[in-house]
Amino acid sequence: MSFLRERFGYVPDLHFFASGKRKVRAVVKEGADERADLKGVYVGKKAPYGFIISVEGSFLVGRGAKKGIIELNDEEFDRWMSGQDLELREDLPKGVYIVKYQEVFAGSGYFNGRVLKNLLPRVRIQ
Amino acid sequence: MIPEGIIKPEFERRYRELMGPEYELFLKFMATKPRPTIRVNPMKVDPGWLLDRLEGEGWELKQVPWYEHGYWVSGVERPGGTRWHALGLYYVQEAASMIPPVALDLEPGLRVLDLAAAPGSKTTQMSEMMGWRGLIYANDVSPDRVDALAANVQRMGSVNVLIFMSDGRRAVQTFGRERFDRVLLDAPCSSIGEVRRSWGALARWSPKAVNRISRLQLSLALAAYETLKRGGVMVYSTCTLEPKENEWVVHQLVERGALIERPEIKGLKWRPGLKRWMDWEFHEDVQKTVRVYPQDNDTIGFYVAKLRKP
Ligand SMILES: C[S@@+](CC[C@H](N)C(=O)[O-])C[C@H]1O[C@@H](n2cnc3c(N)ncnc32)[C@H](O)[C@@H]1O
Repeated sequence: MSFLRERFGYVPDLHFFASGKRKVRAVVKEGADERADLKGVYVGKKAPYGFIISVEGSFLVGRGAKKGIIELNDEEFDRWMSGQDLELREDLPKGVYIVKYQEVFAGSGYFNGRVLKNLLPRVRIQ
Repeated sequence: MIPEGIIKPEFERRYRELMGPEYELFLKFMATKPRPTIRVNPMKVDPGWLLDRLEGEGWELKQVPWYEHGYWVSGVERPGGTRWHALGLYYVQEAASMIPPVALDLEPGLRVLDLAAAPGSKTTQMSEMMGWRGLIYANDVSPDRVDALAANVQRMGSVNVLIFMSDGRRAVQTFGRERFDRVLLDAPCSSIGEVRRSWGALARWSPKAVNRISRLQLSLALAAYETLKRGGVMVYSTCTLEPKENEWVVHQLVERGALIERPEIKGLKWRPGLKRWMDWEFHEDVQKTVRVYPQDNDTIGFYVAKLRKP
């Protein structure tokens, strides 16, 4: 998971493995060699513009991340959780960012130079 | 009130015997909805932070005495419809259903089997109690319910869970003999304890149905027990109050050498398992098993037995 190290400066101490062509999941290391119908949680998937981090991935990676995080204020978080894209207050390089609000993480977004594209799946939108 | 005609005469006869003078009180509780309860996920959020937020949004919270992260909630219409829920910061789970994991003496690093796991209330609770360490093998036979299990494991972030779809009666073939430190069998049942949520279980109830499901429970329990290591703990639980589905099943495990232990459940009012029912006389230790009546703690009805393999 050299990508995580490069992008966020942190790789959680878990076993990462491919699930299908583009998705990546993670399970505790003891589970690495176990056979099961499904193991651990989905952490993210490859997209043309980078590696999208799932909500659970954002908790696992975000906690130790040294960079690649965007912190939202109350109003931005409201809009984010209702599925909207956000204009940002700061100038940032393009790329995928983990979204953080106070104590919690809320998936990731792609900053295209103009807005932070909301990548939350529909089931997480309230 | 429970509408006329839903309670069958045989049901009334049996539950009058079971409840004695409390029968009317029992019915009164059965006719009301249980209090909504949430279980905070301490692996995803600092519980204090979330509780402050929820109270700020007008929720009233009252701690469940037997599980430190359980809270009865009021002042909110749909506890499952918030952003905090969508982010996996808590799980909506009836307070009595938090008891079996507490009885299981969990610690981080153990290997645990949850043989009838879907939709994963107890799987995800156990995962959190183990600090996302060790391994939980969560199994269920129903494809739709396994989907729900997978969705909940994902939402709660339970990275130490492995999911299996198989018939639990074949647990030895699927998982191997004496393989687990802990085994939970939260068995399919006649769901009389769940009547507070929906009266369907009352309409479906019959002595024949109870006997049929009791046979399934026994097969599952025997298979579950086979997968337990020596010295390991198994919890058998149901959300019903039927002796044939509870004490009778546990008695069969005792006959095969299982030892019964009295679980320590803080602040829970409960009744001892029955000594006898109809023609059966149960092993004396069966009285160490836990009957939770709806009127005891204002929860759904539950049964919990803690067993150890010598
Ligand atoms: C009481 S529910 C389990 C609830 C779950 N433990 C929880 O806390 O969310 C009983 C489960 O047993 C499953 N079941 C029924 N027959 C089974 C079998 N033969 N093998 C495995 N699971 C079975 C049902 O699909 C159902 O999901």
